[in-house]
Amino acid sequence: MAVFKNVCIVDDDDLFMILTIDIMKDENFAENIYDFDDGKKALSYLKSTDEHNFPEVLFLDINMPMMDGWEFMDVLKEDNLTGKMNIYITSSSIDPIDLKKAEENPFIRGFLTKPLDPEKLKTVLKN
Amino acid sequence: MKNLQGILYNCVRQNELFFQMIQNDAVEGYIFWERGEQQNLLLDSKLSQQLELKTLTDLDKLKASKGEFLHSIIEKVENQLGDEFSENDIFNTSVFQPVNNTDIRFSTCQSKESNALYILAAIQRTTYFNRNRSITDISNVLEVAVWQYNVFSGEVLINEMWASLIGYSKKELYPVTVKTFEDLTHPQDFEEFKTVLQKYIDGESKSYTMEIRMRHKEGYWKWVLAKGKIVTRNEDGEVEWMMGSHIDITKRKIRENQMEILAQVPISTNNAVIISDANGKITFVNNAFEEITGYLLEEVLGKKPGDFLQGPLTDQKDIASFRKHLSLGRSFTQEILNYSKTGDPYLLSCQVDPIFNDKGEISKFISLQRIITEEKKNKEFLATFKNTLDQTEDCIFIFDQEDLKFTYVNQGAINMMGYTEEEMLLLHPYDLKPEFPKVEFQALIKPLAEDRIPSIRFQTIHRAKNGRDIPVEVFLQFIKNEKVSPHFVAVVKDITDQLAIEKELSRLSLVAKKTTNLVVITDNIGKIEYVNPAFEQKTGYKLEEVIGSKPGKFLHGKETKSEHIKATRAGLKTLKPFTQEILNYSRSGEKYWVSITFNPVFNESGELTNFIAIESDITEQKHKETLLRESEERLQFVLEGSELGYWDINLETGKTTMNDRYFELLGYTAENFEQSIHFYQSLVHPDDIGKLTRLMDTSFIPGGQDDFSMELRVKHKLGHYVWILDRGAVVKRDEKGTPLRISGTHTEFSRRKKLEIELQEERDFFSRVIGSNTLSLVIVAKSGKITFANRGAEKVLGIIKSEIEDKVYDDPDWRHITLEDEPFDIEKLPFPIVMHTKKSVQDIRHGIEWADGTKKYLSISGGPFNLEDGEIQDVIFSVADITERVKTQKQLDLAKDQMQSILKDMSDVVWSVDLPDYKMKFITPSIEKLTGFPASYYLENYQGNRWEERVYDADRGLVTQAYEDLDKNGSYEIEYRIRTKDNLLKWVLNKGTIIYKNGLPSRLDGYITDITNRKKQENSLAKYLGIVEDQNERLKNFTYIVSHNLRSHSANIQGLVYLINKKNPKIAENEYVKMLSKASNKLDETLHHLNNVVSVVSSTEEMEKINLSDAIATFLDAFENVISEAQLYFLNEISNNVVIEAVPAFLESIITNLLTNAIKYCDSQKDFSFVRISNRSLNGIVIMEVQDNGLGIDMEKYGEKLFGMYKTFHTHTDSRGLGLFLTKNQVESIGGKITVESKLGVGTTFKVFLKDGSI
Repeated sequence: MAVFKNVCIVDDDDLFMILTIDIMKDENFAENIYDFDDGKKALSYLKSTDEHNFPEVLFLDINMPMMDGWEFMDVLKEDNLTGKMNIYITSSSIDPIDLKKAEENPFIRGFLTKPLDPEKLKTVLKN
Repeated sequence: MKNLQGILYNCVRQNELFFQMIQNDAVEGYIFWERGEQQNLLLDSKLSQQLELKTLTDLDKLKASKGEFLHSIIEKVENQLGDEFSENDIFNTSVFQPVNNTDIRFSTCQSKESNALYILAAIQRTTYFNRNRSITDISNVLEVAVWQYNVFSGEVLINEMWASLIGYSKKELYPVTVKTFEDLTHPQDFEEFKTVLQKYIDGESKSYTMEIRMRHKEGYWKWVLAKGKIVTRNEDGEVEWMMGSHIDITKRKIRENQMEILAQVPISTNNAVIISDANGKITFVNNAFEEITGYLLEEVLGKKPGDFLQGPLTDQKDIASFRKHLSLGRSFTQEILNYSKTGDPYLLSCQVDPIFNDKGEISKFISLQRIITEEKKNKEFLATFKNTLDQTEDCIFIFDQEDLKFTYVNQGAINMMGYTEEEMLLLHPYDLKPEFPKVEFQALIKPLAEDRIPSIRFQTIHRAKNGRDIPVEVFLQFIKNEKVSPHFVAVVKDITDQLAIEKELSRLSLVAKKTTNLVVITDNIGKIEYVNPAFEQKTGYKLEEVIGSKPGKFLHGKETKSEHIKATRAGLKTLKPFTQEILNYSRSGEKYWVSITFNPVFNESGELTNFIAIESDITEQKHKETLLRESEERLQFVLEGSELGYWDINLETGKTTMNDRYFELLGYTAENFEQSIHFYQSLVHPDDIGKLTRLMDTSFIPGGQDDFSMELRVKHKLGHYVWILDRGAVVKRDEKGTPLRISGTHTEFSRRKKLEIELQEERDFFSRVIGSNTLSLVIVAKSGKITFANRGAEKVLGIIKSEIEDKVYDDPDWRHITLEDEPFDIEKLPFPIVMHTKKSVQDIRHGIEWADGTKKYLSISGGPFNLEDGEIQDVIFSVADITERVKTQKQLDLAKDQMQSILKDMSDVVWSVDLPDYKMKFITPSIEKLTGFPASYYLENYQGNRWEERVYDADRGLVTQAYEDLDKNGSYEIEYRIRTKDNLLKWVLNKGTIIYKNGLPSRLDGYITDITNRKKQENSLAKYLGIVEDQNERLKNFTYIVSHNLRSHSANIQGLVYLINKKNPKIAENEYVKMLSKASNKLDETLHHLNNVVSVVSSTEEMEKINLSDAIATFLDAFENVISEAQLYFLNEISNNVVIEAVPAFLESIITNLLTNAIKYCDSQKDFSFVRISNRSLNGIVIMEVQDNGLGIDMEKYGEKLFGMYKTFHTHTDSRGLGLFLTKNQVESIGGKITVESKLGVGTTFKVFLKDGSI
């Protein structure tokens, strides 16, 4: 039995996606993992998803083409979708400004530095 | 229409009185009508002819004059008839119209058929036809309002003028009664009128004269001077008719009612006043000016006073000073020598005040001039001679060469001329000599004045004050010496006696035989010696018949009036020429009127020898005169009260008639005025005689104009000219239309009248000035109370008139202060000064402070203007608001002080160069500081330009450019380098502006500032700014690359290594995979370091004040173990109270890095290892030193790279090389500096320069 039913990952980095999904499966982190390589696709999914199948956790990258993580957050907020799931920023950035920004956003549960590993996933479980 | 002719025929048969009246009484004709049927009148042929009417007339359709005439008769008759009448009586009545009257007899006849009452009115006598024009018309022409009032009946008659005076036509007021008068008169005045009239009628007062208000048609009140006299009384001596005039005196009244103050404005003083416009051109002068200078207002209008008032002796300096003052536009007083029109110099004190308009521009200058020349300079000289000369019987006249005014006359002269001494001293010789008008007289004395002849002797006439001409012989000499001003002495002898005989004889010769006048010469007892042919012809007596007999015996007849005979006899006894009118009879019994002039003739010994009588026939004239006299008298009488001179000329006889007022106007009396046209003409000013002759040419011809009006200057008996308004009308013409008689009036408007008019204008002007707010006037009564303030004063004082007039001059409401805001001594206020000195004050300046603290500064000028018995009643002040001026001045003074201190201390150089020669005129001493040369170096005479020599050669082009700018714009601003005395280069900013004077460049002013430091800063700053910006930009990019791009790759590698390790432990055992894992971790670590460094450099963290010893203590706490393990001496020499400015995290990192390095690299070979940390302060900088005696660094080998990234200089396992790189960046990012001294094997010393935070 997986920890979460539905988990969503938004990241344009293919390699990161492969590695992360691999780890999550190993750790039996989620029943279904939905992955999107840009924010727009993720949004249209979230909007079309019913309450029952709504992801419990969403991992969001900051630096993405088209729509970056912060813009994605703004749209989520407008559509009142932010409160329905736990959102984590996953970023390779070690820029303290990005970290600070994430901390200031009340809808972001945590900031996870890439790469993800079982230890970091455990902090998500704890929350 | 009834057949009046038929009815009259019946009436004549019925009432024989009718026949009698028609036969005897209807001298001038009759009127017949039915009572109450005035539209149907029957006039007899005589009356209708005279009136140029048809015999049957409708009264209503008649024109004014004739209708009025008939109407007055009819109305009078019907009124008199009343209800009761007796058919067989003849009634007498008279109709008075203004200035003409009619005697009527009338009777009635009742028709037997219709019972209607018919009236026949026979006109016995009327003055109506005696003039071609009704006297009423003339009185209208002459603009005299005339009224007649029947005290009994209340009947009132008026003329057109009377009505028009109050805006009506006569028709509108019809019928006029006392009630009409009452309605039109002010109730108050009417009450008074009744009293005044009653008093006059009762004989309690001699005349009826009063000023009344009458309501004009348009509703306002007209002031009227009403005068009147009793004309007729009835048998019982009771007053019947009164007659009088109305004169419009509204203007005078208004004037009288004007503020007394206006009349008293200093302008009407004896001082001359000139008002000129802003350009100095005269717009007004007062009477005093005219009198003093002899120039009339009209002569000087538009001229500048300086153009004609100053003469050869006027001091040029005074003129220059005067002009200068004028150009300053301030009030000033200046003494100057002026010349009158006649060339008399006089010294005067001239006070000039500019009047400003609302815009603050000068609109006018008012100049008040007071003559200060010593008056009557010859007085002393004359006094010496007076006594001597008074002794002689001869008449002595001394007059001045310049103005020809008598300066002395002796008693004999005074006796002869009849003038008082004072009067004489106002006159000139030509005023006494009718034969020598001014110009002729001047010509006469010219040879004397020019010393060509020693004296002149001549005969002429002196006209005495009473008009008597005195034949005189004049001996005239010119006296000129150094002691007195040149003058003439005339010794005059009366030669009346001497000339008498010659004169009479000459008259005799004048009596030509052919004259149409009758000439009779008798001996000394009146017996005829000679009659001329005209006499023979007229009287029918031959010379032979009458010789030896007395003329009266055969010439006088039954109707010759005894009073005339008596007058003739009396006249003869006087032994003086006289004229008498008398009625004579010819041989055939024909009556004729003559005017006889009797001339006594004396022999050499003065005995009477003969009488010559010259008689002119005035029968016709006399006849008409008789008829006219009455109405004339009435007209004259009316005019008597009206201040008009009346004149009348009979062109047929040459006889003239004037009233007393006429003579009075010209200074004569009826006795001494020669009543002839020629005499009158001789009095008319030569310049005006043309008007008179033109009039004669146009009016005194057949069909010429009837009315005329002209203004003439007529010579007064005292020699001056008076302006006379001469209005007249032709009152009688012959069949051909040639005028026979002209009547008219004289109104004086010169001198007094003119003065009055001018005064009025003056008042108007000054009331405008006073009323305006350009001139601020305040009048203070002697009590100190302010009695008057005008609009200007309101403006200046800021409170309304009534509030000002409520105060005293030293009112506590306005505290008097000096211009420096100190209390002002009350005694030095203008008012006490004027009261004390009795003199004017000028420009006394003080301030007033109101209770609320607001201040006004005033300039006050003024002086006494209303004196009674030498005591000042009022003082008038003009108050000028100088608040702005004072404030500005204060500011200016302050600014000047400031400027001076600034000039003294400033480093900027201010300079001024004269143009066009570009010579340095002024330069501040600070130039020495700038260039090393003192100001005198630049100011001394030198061929070249010392300043330009200082300009750095490479920058000369800039200076050339500056000159081009100067030519183009009038100013320049450049920065260039100069060489100082010590050959240093300095940057200067030099600014210059051309100052123009009268449109030409006169100066070039400017300043120089040393901008060397600024230039240096600018240069280094520019460099610095460029680098920093560049670096920051690069660092940002670098940071991004490190923290995002590189990091994401490194993260992925780490992730992959993790997965490999996890999924394929076998592969993980592979040596290369192990190495990959290691490399991947290293890469990640490096990236973290790198990120730390760049985030330091691009950090935006705030600086804080940090106690350095605290920071060291924190480090010691954290690294206690490390230090003890290292086995070395840690020497903390940091002072307790050293504060620096830094980012706390950075400072901690710096300290940690430096100290851990020092500990790390201690030399284990040495027995005594130490790390020493200390501090010292220097000019706002704290230097922190970290010294060790560790391994040391080979500076020659690594010096440059010491602070580079990833440099390690030791083979120590822990050294990663990032430390010093990071430290240097951190030090520099908080504005500090780090240096290092090191020697291999000896030790290393780091010095960190930090900002002192205690400042």
